[in-house]
Amino acid sequence: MTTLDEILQQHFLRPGQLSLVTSVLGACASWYEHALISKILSTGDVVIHISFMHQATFHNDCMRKLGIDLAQYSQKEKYFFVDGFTGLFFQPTGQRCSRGCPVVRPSLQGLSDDVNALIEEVLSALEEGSKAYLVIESPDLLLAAGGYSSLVLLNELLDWHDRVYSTTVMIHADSALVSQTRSRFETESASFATSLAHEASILTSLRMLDTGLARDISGVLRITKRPEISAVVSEHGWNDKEVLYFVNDGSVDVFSRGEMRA
Amino acid sequence: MPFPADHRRTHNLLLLSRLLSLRDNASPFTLLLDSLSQSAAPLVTEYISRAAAAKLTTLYVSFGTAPYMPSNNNMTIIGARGLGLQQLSQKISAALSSAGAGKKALIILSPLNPLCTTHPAEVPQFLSSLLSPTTSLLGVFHTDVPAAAAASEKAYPDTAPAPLTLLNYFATTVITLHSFAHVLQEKEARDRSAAPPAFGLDEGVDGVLVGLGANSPGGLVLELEYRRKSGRGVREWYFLGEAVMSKLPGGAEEKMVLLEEHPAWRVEEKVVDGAEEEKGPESTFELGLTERQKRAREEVVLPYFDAQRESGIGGGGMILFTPDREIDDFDDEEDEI
Repeated sequence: MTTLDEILQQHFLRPGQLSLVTSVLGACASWYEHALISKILSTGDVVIHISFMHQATFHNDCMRKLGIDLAQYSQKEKYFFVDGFTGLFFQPTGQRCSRGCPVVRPSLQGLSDDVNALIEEVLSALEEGSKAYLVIESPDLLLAAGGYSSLVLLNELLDWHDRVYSTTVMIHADSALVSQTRSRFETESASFATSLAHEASILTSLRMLDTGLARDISGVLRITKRPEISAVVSEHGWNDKEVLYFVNDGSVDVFSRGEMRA
Repeated sequence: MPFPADHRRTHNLLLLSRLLSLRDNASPFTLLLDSLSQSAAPLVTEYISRAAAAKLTTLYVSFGTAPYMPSNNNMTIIGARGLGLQQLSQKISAALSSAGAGKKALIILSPLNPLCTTHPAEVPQFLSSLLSPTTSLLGVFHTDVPAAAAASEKAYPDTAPAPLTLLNYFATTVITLHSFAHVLQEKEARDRSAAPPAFGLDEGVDGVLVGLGANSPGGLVLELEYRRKSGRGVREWYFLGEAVMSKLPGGAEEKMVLLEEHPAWRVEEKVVDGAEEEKGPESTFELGLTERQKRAREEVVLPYFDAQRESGIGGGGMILFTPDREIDDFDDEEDEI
């Protein structure tokens, strides 16, 4: 039997770990993101949360259901939110983004400057023994909306990743986005997703139930590890897993196929 | 005299052992083709540890995330993300000369995809500029990352061959990696003349990037193509595991074995052999017949055998009808309604 806690534990295996979480239209990954953030915050570490899909209010509301007040953590300088979407197409105002405010520069360079400045600020204020985690939601939006090439965006993400303790990237992996290569955007998007999957050491894929919709199952979660170039022999005993999950209001059940549930 | 199969086995195992240990500069440029189903990481780790054992200088030119190697002092990691070719070759030659000129070195480029996207036309020249009698190149290429279009038509025309094609011509050894679990399942399907299953992105399931059984722990399958100087090629399939699996002449012990000699591969074959011997369905009942029952069964004359004889009861097509003795369900009033 696998619990959600065991699955989330796979994001904390080693320093410098890059994890990838993919979702599809019918199986949204927000719940996973919030469960992960609440787990990091519960250990006393710092989260830098960059979201290209949702605003701060959405995350605040969802986290409140889990019993976590993000505003408090933000005041304690444990949680930093970067709204990558709201100001994406605004005219540049010239002012730097300070902590928590939306990014207001429409170029990747501006965004990169802002994020790098924030990481710098967080790292310099970091207490002894605590770590900085980066959670990036839907950076693939920039491929579609910003017209950046997958390689440029990937290099940018990996540059950010190099500076923090561990990174989780969440992207969309609908088959229209990962297995079509007719148009330029399709190629870039597929190239971005597969390259990231090659770089990541843990890949968590959320998808809909293969057999259709069900009232008591939200979707399927598959978690696979990729072998790494490392001097340490990787421990055995972990097999790739596939479990079902059900998202209820404020709580998530994770269970195996055919398992009896209360 | 050894059997030809035995000779082939020894020869090919020695060949792979020589290639992995970079002995005699056997292959100046080795291309590893990996996919999401089987990563090249275990094989690259094998190369690195053998290079360390042979006291070679190892350069890891990383175009992605840097490898996690807290305790390897023999290896220099060069971060190559976003660097131009000029800067990159300067960095590499600086690292090589600081290790000692003329010393044997292994240069690992992983992955080559970004380079092929940014400098598609210059990649072969760049790679051959790194080659020298003392260096071996090891390039990793992800086959399932679609090549993004070049920045402009002028930089790399559409009609020019894909960078992977050029690399394929250029390489002296090409190793394609496969997941052992997937190879076994494909073989099983082939033996039943069924269509081989697809994995990962080919499955066509929305949201699946990596199939189950990918990167199976314990070992991986290598499809080797080695091009000799004479132009003749050697093709062989190997299994590279984690424990010692074969002994080579000269006393060397190796972790690899020809794929066809792997126990799991052979078990599969045995199962297929067994299937040919006709076996009835399994049940707790005795479904067979004893000799006596068989004889009794053969003696029974079925009623219609009589009818088929010409002079039998039927007498050539006559309809026999024996009315029931009593017909009592006639309803006289039926017609009156």
